Amino acid sequence: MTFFDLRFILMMFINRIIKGLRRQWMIIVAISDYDRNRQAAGSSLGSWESLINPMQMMLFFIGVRVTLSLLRGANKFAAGGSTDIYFNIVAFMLTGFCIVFLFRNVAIKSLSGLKLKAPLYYSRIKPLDILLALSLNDMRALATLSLAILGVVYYFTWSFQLDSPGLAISVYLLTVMMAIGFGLSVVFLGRLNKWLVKIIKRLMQRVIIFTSGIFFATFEIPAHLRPFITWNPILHGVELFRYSINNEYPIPDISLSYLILCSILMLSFSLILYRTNESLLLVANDD
Amino acid sequence: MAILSGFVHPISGDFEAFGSLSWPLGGEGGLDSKLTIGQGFDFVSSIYSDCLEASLISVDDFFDMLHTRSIDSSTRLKDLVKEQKDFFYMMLSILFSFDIYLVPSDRSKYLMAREARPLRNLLNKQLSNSNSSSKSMVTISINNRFKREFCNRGMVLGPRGEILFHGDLEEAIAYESETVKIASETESDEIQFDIAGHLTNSDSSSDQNDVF
Repeated sequence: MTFFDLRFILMMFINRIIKGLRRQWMIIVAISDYDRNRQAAGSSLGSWESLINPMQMMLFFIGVRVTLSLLRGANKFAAGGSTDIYFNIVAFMLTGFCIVFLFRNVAIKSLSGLKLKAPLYYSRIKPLDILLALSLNDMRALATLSLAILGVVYYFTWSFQLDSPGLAISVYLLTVMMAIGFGLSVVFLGRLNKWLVKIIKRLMQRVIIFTSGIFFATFEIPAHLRPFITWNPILHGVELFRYSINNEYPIPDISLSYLILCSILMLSFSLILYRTNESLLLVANDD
Repeated sequence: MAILSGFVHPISGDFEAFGSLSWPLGGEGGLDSKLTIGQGFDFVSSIYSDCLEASLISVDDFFDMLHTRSIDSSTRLKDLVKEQKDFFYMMLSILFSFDIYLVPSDRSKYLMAREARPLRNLLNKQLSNSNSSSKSMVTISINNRFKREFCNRGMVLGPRGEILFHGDLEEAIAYESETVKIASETESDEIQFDIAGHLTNSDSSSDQNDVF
């Protein structure tokens, strides 16, 4: 075999991979459009449905936090407590919300089993494509909402700040990777007893929301209590995201390498699990 | 046929060749009834874009054919009457150029109906595509008229799936009529190709709003 033969084989192999990836991407985008269209058809809000839902939840959270700040007698535009020094309250809450809810939405959807099953009728579509498409929709909705609200905040406060855009993008993508990995792992959990799944779901929702730093900053927590929350990799994502916006924001006990490790481990484990158990996801759900 | 469709894993044997495989022709699974014809078409054409490029039927022809049955791209799937629905789903499957077409028994009966004549012609056109060397069709039809029009070889399987006969179509039909009882024929005629019936979308979105 000559060098040119080897080069030809290599080129063919690379072409096949690129073609396969291109087709995979087209399938994922098609499913995400499919899901948005069917959601829009079933709602009076139409296409805005996918944005309005997370927005109302985000506004509710911000409302709760502002009310608490007012009750404490803090400045109504500040984050309350020592966080005031670094962030406007809306920006502070938003940074927490867009990371935590991205993770939560993907995980909860997966734990409930694949609600979107009809596309599996076409043999080219696999359960992983559906999960990725749903994650893409959540990512797009939350990213659009975050950018829009951040734009509004910057407009009114006239203080644009994004110290480390590279870190912000990396943290966001690492959270997406971790969410997909976690979602893919728990989708198999959804195959177990449905009551057990409901209990885990409820517990997980509370644990994630109250330990992920939506409402608080890690540096506000006393050092001896931090280990109780810093086990949560989403908290690392949230705090690093805030740090990427304002590099003066203190992040004690928060580490990027921990987030990277959790994301890679979670994704690798879930892909192995998926590879060996894919057929389980083609069976009907009880609920 | 369920194995070929990818819904069931084979318990023995192996795949020797890979090609583009149709979903069961005229099958109504896959698309959500809330979608419009245009949205459904966009979805399937994105998934099978390579098969659409190789097709002998153009997208314009596809929509023209739908117009003859008063089907518009903005019509919702759930608003179609049964005849329109049958026509749309069959037309959608025939539009794409697959290496292997799968035809379930009930759909072969529909294809031989008078109102489906244009669809039959289009299917013949796709199967006789001279640009492609490997076009095949697999059917479990018991409709002899359909078999004689579209098939050239036949296979008779036993109750456990074992091959009883494999060869020329006319001989296979003769073998079948000799060995299989009329009663069981009638029974099998009523068997619908209902694979992947559980693949339906669920609309429960309470999980997303249930925060606490």
